[in-house]
Amino acid sequence: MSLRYLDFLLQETFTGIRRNLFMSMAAVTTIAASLLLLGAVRLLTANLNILAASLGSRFEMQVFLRTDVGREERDSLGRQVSGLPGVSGCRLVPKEEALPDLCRRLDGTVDLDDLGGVNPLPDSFIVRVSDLKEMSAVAARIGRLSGVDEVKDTHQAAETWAAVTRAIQMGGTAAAALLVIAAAVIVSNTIRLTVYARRLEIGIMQLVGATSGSIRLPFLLEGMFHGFTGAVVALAALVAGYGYLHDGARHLVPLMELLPPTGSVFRAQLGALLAVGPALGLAGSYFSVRRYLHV
Amino acid sequence: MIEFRDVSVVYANGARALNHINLAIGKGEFVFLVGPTGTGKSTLLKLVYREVLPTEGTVCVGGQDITRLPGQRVPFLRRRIGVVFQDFRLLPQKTVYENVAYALHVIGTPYREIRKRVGAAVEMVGLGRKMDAFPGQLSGGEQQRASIARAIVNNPPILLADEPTGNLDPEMSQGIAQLLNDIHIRGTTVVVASHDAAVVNALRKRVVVLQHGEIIRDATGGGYGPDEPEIP
Repeated sequence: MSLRYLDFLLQETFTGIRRNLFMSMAAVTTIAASLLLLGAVRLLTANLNILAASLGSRFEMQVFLRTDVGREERDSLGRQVSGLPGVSGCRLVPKEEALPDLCRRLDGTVDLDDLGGVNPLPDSFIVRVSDLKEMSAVAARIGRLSGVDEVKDTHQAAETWAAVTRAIQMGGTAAAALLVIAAAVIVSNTIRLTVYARRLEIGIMQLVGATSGSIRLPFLLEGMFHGFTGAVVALAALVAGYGYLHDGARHLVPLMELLPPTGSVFRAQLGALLAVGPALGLAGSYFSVRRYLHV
Repeated sequence: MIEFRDVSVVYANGARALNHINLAIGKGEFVFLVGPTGTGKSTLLKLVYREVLPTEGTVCVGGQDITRLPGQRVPFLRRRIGVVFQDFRLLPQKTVYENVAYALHVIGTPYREIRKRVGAAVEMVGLGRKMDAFPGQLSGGEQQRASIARAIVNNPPILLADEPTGNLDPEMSQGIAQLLNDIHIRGTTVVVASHDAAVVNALRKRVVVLQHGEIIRDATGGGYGPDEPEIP
């Protein structure tokens, strides 16, 4: 196919879009809405997973020691905890490691220099149990040991969080899937109207010996254009909307861990939306071309 | 050039359009298909460019049995046949030049070639000064000339015209008939379906008379009308 022929096909494609500008806009808007929802669900799920990870494993609990506990007492406590029935592992997290780790997870929003060289965090243990049913009993036993300040038994919260994440992921995906189907139907209808509006051209093309492929191609390109434009609109809305919501959430809960609104996060969405959008447009237009364009 | 062998066409609604037609049209011939409306003239033309397939029999174009032609080869058959209709079928939002060029664009002809051929075709039909006019700005006769230019721009060896003067007044009709004759003189095989007796009688070409889907007369240098014998 020569470049000039491609130029002719593109001209035909844009003629089709201009003829049905209103329907084209409806198709682009619906695709944009469905892809925006899809992207939002993906971002939300990724954030929920990060929050879930920060809550800890379902089989682990965090044991914070009092700040006045010395190194020897700390090691002895570690041995005691390891020896308790039901405990399958005990790992020390010294406060010197905990602070830079926290700063890293908060993505540089806390500056170590601001703390004036004082580490406010205590030493802690990550205690692992082999059986979830033992969790509460083990937590109670550890809590009674001297030198232990607080036991954070997070497994209940982690379970609830995982269930909430799953529900949001499933509900969001189902809603996005419904919108995606609606978008495909609207694209299909738009192309059907274009086919109807251009029946004279189609008849002439058939008469003068245009191949069925070259008659169909402008309609398929039109569907893909709707999908691509919808994806670009959705991406723009996602970037702007996520940046706004991220800042709002950070303001509300300053220490909450969230995906930052940066390029790498959006690049993943870019690939997904730019693949799904045109594919969606193509599917809708292909259906109409097969059904209504008899060549 | 075109040969119908025992061709019958029965439409899906049961109507029999053609009944055991045998007809051969030689290369470079000019043939009028005449007869009242509904006698199968248009169906006969549609068989040639494979808009319709026969229920029985075979149709050969250029020595090739086109009833067995695979669907994807049909566009290439149509590039060798120009077709003109009573209602012109011009694109209203395109100029004369663009309408004629469209036929070449859609088959991927290079731009330089398009400019050359469109110019020649439009000059040939006498619309050289109206290349930039839109169909709405032209008379019926001029619109039909533009549609003929589109049909011949690809230099097809066969030109089919289905009632080309059906929408025109007698004076314009004579002009179109003369134009079709000029194209024929250049070597093109021309088949015209018409029930315009004045046009048929002015050119005195081969006349094939159809009635109820059958050929009832086939006369070289014939005419058409109440004075002509119905049976050869």
